[in-house]
Amino acid sequence: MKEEKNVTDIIELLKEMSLRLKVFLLLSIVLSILPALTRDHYLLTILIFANIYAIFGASWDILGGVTGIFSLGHALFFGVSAYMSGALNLFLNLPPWMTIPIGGVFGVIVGFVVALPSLRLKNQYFAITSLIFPTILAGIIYMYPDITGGETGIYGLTQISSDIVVTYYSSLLLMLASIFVLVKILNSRIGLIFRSIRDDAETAEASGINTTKYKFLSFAISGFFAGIAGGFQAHLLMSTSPSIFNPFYSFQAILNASLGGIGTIVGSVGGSYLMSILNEALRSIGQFRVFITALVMLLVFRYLPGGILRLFAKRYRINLEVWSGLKKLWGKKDDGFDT
Amino acid sequence: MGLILEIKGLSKRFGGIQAVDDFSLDIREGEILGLIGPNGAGKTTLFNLITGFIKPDSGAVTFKKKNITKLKPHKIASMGVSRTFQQVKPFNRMLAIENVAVPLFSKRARKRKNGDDVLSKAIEVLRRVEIIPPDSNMFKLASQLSHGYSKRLDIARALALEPEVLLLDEPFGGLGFKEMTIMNEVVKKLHEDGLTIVIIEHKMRALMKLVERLAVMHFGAKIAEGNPKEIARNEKVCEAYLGKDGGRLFA
Amino acid sequence: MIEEILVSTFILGGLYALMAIGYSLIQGVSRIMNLAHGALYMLAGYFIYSLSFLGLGAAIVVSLILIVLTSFIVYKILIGPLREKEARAALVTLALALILQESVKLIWGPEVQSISYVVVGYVTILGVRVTSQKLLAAITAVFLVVVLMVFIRRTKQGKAIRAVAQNMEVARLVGINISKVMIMTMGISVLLAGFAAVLFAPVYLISPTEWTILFRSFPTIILGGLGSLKGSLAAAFIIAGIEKVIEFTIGGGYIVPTVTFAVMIIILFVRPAGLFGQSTN
Repeated sequence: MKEEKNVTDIIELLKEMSLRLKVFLLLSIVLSILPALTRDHYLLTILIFANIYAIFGASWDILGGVTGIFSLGHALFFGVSAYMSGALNLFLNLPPWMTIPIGGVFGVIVGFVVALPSLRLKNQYFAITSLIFPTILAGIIYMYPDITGGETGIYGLTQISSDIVVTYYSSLLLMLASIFVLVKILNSRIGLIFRSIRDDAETAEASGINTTKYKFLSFAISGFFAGIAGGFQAHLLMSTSPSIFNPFYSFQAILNASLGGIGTIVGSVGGSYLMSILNEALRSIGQFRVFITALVMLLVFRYLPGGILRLFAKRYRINLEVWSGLKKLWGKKDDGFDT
Repeated sequence: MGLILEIKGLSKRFGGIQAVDDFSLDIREGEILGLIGPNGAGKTTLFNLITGFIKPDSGAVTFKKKNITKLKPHKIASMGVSRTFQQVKPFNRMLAIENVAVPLFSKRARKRKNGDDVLSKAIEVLRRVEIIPPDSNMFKLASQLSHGYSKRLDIARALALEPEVLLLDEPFGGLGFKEMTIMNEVVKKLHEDGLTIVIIEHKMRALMKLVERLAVMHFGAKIAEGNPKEIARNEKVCEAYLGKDGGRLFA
Repeated sequence: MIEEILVSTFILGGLYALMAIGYSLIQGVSRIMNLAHGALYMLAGYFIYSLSFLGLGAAIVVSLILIVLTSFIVYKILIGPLREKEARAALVTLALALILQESVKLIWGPEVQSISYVVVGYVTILGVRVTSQKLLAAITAVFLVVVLMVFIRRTKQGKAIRAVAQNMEVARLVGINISKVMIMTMGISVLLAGFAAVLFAPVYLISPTEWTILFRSFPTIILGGLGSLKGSLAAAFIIAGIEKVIEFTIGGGYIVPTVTFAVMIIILFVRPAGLFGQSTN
């Protein structure tokens, strides 16, 4: 009898949950049992990278898609944190589970630094500046090879784990946790304010919102998660080099977020996984890879700017961005509601 | 009834144009004042100067005896001076009710709130502009609203701050007859609630029915001030609008 | 050494001036960031190289026509429809630049390429021996900029461009045909990139990543201020000067762009509108 009650309770609970939460759980479960179904080292590695770039894409999204500040040089946060995590690991012997969060903190610091020009410069000027920041950093690294390891970078970092399955679960856990937090932010009143800045910063100011403060906050959050992704990758590869500041990584973040659904946060997960699959499929025609990636970029930005998720959202009439405070108006579910 | 907003000698120059020229005006608490003048007279620029969106070259603005001239827009809004814009500028990709919720997270709203329900406050504000829930418009994206609703949503947004002074920039702009009637009622009721209101408007007939006092701007300077009757007979005002040979503006 | 610095500054400045002005024109008039502007330079270079069998003169003419056509088609299909959405348009041009980079790599190979000189031989200036091509390039670049300045200031069409760049709404109200102005501006911008290729590609060579010349021109673009031709010209030589000084004293390589970019950012902090600010030419 007791068992029956427990099962009914769970079913009731499931029914109460929103569509989004259900999808989240489903995804988590599927991705979690994956290693049991396939011991393919190769596949797991691809998915690990997909997870890292999902976090990276989402970090760009909260700044660009949600707050409206388009950074074209997000590799800056990624790279700085990678180097800092690596340095902490190499010189202070801190383990990855410490260096990665600290790498995230360095991402926050970089975020504050980059926030300053964004306040003073007009959008176009800021876009150009953000594009150039990573190049400056790469240049500095090349200029002082004795301290920074120059072109070869730093290597010999501690692995996440010698077991690929453990590494996979770590990346999965990190990704799910990060996305969860970012989505909570998106639907919170902070997300509401971020979106108001995106839609019309002047009106936001006129509404009593200190846009400067919230822009800084957005940069900090974005920098933190980009930093975590960077730190994780550094330990995954057990090394990092100035190539991490390559504009192409910045574009990856933008592409992943845009392909999945700009401004939705969860879109970055889909976008990242899709691009990973695409990349692998193209491995055989290696020289066309960048070409096709760029082509996808072009098509997405030109014809599908909202991303794939928004197509679904439109069709099933779900609002992905809505403030959770409105929940009370239509019951417990926070599906967004039918417009 | 004291002076709630004092504008003293405000001036602003853009390149070769003196947009606002040594403008002074005393606004009494609780009054409803109209600001008129031909196109390009500097009215909106004046609003921008008062609310901190533009810094004046010289002059000062005091609100309740506090100097607000150099403050940032969000600070001024949080102190109790709220405004709307000439072009409706809603948060386009957010729902109408979300639009109204945003100001409720400003410093001012948070200071006054006693842990009160943001949602009910938002609905209450919408009520005041005649967007009565359950109104399906509440859940529409701001970009999908009709013009009349958008205009009132703008005011709702400004109201959500619980301001003491409300600056309305062409609230009747682009409205049809029915909408104008609703808007008229809304503004009247707001005035009755005790708000000090300054309105920039071109639709004279609608404005005259609402305001007790008028100030007239031309080429950035104040050329006349007084009640509607006096202004209608004022020669300088007629000249400004109709040129040297202009007769009476309105009977 | 000073003479070498001066001469090479004069030459590099010419390139930066042409690229910066070509980019600024489009952004000023249509608000769209054409991140593929440098790709036009690259493409023109490769076209000239491939068509050299037609004879240099014909190759140049055909190449210029080709890049003008290409950009108009691209604009019609990809960018035009995104008129009000500048962020998206910018990203589209970025993707385009990458596509062109890869296409060039696939067609012509990844190596650096040289293209034919318009003039051969050497010349001595200030005691420095340079190729005549370099001298021609620098002088022609400045000449083109001056011609453009006169055009913008004196002719009806030029003034129309200025008007639209300053305030599109007002320009429209005054009766200016916005589309015509856009087309004209685009044409000028593309041709500037094309001429830059004719003049400077032989000097500095081209490669599939040459489209990033635009990024190297950003300090000039930003310092010169988007609205000012005079500003861009001055900024071009200032930036070129800084770069050459660094190159000749400390050394070349990564230091040069790193320092220039850093300088650019510092200056932006002090003067967010660029050194020569918002003033319209």
